[in-house]
Amino acid sequence: MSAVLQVSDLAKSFGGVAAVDGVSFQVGAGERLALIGPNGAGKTTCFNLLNGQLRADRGSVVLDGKNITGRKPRQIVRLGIGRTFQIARSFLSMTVAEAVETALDAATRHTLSFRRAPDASFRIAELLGQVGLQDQADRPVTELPYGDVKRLDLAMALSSSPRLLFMDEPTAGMAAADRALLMDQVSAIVAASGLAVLFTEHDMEAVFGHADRVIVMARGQLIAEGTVDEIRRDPEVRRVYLGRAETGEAEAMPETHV
Amino acid sequence: MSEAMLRIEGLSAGYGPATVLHGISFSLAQGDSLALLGRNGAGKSTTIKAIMGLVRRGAATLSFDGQAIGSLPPQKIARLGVGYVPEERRIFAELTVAENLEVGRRPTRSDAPEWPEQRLYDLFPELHAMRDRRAGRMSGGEQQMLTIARTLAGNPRILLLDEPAEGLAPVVLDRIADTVATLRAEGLTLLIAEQSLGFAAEVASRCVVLESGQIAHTGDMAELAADSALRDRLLSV
Amino acid sequence: MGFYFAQALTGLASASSLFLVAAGLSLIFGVTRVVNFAHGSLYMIGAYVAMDVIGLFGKVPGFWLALPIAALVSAAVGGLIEVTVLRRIYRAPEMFQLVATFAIVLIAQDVAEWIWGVADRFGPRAPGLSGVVTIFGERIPEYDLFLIAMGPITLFLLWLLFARTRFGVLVRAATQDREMAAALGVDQAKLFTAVFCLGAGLAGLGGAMQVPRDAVTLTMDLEIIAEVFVITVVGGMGSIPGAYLAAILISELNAFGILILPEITLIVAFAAMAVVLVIRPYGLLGRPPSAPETPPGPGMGTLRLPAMAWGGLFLVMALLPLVVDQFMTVLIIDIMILGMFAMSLQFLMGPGGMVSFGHAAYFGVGAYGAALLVRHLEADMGWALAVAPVAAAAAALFFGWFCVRLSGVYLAMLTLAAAQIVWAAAVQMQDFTGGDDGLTGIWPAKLFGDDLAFYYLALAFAVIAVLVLRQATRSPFGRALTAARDAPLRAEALGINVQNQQWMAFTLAGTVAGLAGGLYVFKKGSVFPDVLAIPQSVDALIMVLLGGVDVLAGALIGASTFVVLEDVFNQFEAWRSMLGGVILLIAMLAPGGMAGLGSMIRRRKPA
Repeated sequence: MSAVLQVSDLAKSFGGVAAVDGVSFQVGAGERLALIGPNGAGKTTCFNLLNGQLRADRGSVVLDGKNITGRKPRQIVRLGIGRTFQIARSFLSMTVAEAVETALDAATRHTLSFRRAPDASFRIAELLGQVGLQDQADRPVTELPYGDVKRLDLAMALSSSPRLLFMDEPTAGMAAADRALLMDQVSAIVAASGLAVLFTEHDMEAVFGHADRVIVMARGQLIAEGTVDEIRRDPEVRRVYLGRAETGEAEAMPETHV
Repeated sequence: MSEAMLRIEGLSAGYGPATVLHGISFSLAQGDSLALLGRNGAGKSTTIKAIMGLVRRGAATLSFDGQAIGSLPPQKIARLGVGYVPEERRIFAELTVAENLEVGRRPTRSDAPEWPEQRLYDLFPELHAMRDRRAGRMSGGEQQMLTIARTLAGNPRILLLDEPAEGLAPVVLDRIADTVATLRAEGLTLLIAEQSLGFAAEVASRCVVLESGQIAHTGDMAELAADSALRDRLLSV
Repeated sequence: MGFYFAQALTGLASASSLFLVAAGLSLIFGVTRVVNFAHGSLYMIGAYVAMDVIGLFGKVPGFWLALPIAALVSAAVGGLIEVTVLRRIYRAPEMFQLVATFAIVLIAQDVAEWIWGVADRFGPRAPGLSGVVTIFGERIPEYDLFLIAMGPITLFLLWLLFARTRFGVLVRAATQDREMAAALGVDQAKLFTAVFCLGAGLAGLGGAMQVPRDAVTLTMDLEIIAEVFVITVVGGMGSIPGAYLAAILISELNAFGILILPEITLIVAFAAMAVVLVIRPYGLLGRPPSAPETPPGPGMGTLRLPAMAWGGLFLVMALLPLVVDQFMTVLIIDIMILGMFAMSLQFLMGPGGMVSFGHAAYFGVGAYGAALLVRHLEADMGWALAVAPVAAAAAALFFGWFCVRLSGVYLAMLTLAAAQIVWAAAVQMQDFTGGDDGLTGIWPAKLFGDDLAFYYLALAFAVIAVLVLRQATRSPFGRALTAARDAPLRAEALGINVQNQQWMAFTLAGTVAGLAGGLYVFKKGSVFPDVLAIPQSVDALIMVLLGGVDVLAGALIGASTFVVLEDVFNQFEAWRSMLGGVILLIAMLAPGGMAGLGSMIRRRKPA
């Protein structure tokens, strides 16, 4: 399987504390890769290094053979990576269709134009259809339930036809039934388009139902990598999730945070 | 449950447009120690923040000592005797240790144990040695001690601890667990949001497990800790 | 050598008063997150009170009593302002806070005029410090040495207060993390009032200290505020040592800049600020706000006037001169010109989400550009009107580059400082601009000599402005701009260059303002530095707020209301207070403006 994204030895410290400490992994074409780990493991920092919000201390990020380390977020987007947000903040003064149209304008580098692109409506309908919002096109974003705001966020992220999608906690803040639906939609999009997805997630059902592969972070490092079943059985993973009393190995843990 | 000290009924809460808690209910009596468990993102911290008035709360019954606190601002809730120990510590990094304690200091009250400065330093002798050090220059473990001491300085009747074990090395963790257990033994009411089952088992007698913003399990802390099938289902991956 | 030394001392002496005022402003901002425009008023009140005390008790002991009494009176006035006005608007968007505190400036001016009269007052020399000492052969006023000492002394006393008292510890804690302080039971209301009193007292003391140096006037409030804004931004909002450093830096630059560029000293200060902000966006000793609160921001509504309504409006406008008298015709020309100016600001504030307190700069550059062309090159009206928007665009392109690097109150303060530069240039470059005497005799071409013809010219320009701004708002350009306002991170993650988008919007808004300014010159036949001054900028803000930030047409409603209100209020002596009162009412009761009232009521229901 050819890798879309190749992350090597990525590291970032804040005030001497290593938040991400030499992380390496790859995302294959059309693969859904989940990044999980307990609070404070460094997932968010890792994500922000990949999407350009933060600058890495060392290591490299290569997209389709092109080194994108240190690029600005908007440059990374233009190179073919879309992203959705943990707390989706959409364009609250627009309708659903307008928000997607704006995203399309951005994708086609059209944002200084005074004229609307003529043939956008088909593409808008297509994008909204992928996330099941086709009937909401003319609703103001302010009236959407939060689950649909997240779907709109996804539609906007897809508007640049990315090869890779970063999703930060795609189901956070949603009601339980709605989560499954969203993840099913993501999987359908992946199946149809060959898009690769890297996502962080708290909801284990979403992870185990929709990830092809899982990587686990703790204390800034990758501690496990494998299929869903392998991860479930991994004692190290159980330990970081349940805390020390679980395995009785607490005293052997490295003292990194005193 | 009329003697409940802290009562929560139908609490929903969230940030901006996102709703994280979907109507949870539980209560604590005087002297109780309850652990809020659940995977990250389940809503543990949000519960604590909602009690403190720090996040958007939906219509709910929140009462402390029979007084409705659902629409009070944080400082009024704190002044009723609710002590809040935040996650990620949130010490005042530019202030010294002694100054941090000063911010937390509140007048003594007849219905709660008193925490004069010396008693705080007895509890955490480490802090005494560095009372004039800027808090931002302390280690994570020392900061965690400071944040607990700072809240105790307000002579609270109940302590809300938000992930006190997070990011701490085992030695420090033991120290914090011992301290919290001591406080519990002295009769302080405790509500602890915690991801580490081991830590929770040492300091709490009851537990509430949250999953996706709803209560998935309520019961005895020791039972949960002993029942590996149950805890795997609720807490592990 | 001695001369430069003396110049350095003069700079240090000027720094002290500025530091006191800036420290107060910075302190208040640090804890309450409100930029207090009325801080200059408290400084002015301090100066007048000091004069009264000296008058009452004589030079000795009057002067020495004046310092503490002025500080106390200003502190009390500050406390009153905090309790009656600010407490109600802490949760309002920043722009309402700024505008509300500016309303206080207007009211304070009237009250000051009523109590102390319009005549400038000159204070006595400080008793015991009226002599000079000779250092390196230069004569240095003793009072300057006293002032130089007062800076570090105040800094030290403030340090003692903040380091050694419970109050100081609580203030520092709240400055770092006010939510955490509240969660520990710290009473914010009391703390905020106390901090406001302290900050106001410092401003009052600063005013009293200036009495032996400068005349006490009714304009000293706005004269100092721009410089104080520059100092707090350069020093870092909320940092008192930063304010001291910046006060010294700016004062020294002024003291020496006057030797190099005697005509435009403020440009040196601005250049310094620009350099500092590009390297350190939060100032010398400032740091990014710890918990960035999401700006409630304007423009949640999607109000739009349909094309039909615009068409109808312009049809009515075209027919109006046939039925109204000449007085009304002229009044409506005023409304159209100010309406264009206000619409350009609405575009900046609404879709752009950028609050400018210096939009008059571009109106004025347009006006001066046209007038200078006529005066110095004897250009005709057509050329002059063509150059007006181009000149304004160039100015907006230049200042905008700096401004869009900041956001919120920082951006607002920077726009104000930029406008003050242009204003100072117009006042100081006398040979070129006519200074305070302005440029007069700039009359329109014969064809537009009569009011009716000029009316249709203005209408044509207004139609163009509406078409341009409306299209800009609806186009991909405006959408991307609005996207950047609504959710900047999301916009950036779609590939939108947020700063660039805002920069272009800033330039477009400036261009349209310049067009209005060009028209204005030929309507009035003259131009004075007033068109660049703070009140002119604030007038536009008031128009936008009156009409509602959400909708382009609101600016026209606002301009009409404003012109009529001004016409009515002008008959009264206390017109500024009345205007201030109206602004306060809008800021506190109807933050959506008149056009926004409807949507505000609709929005309130679901909650």
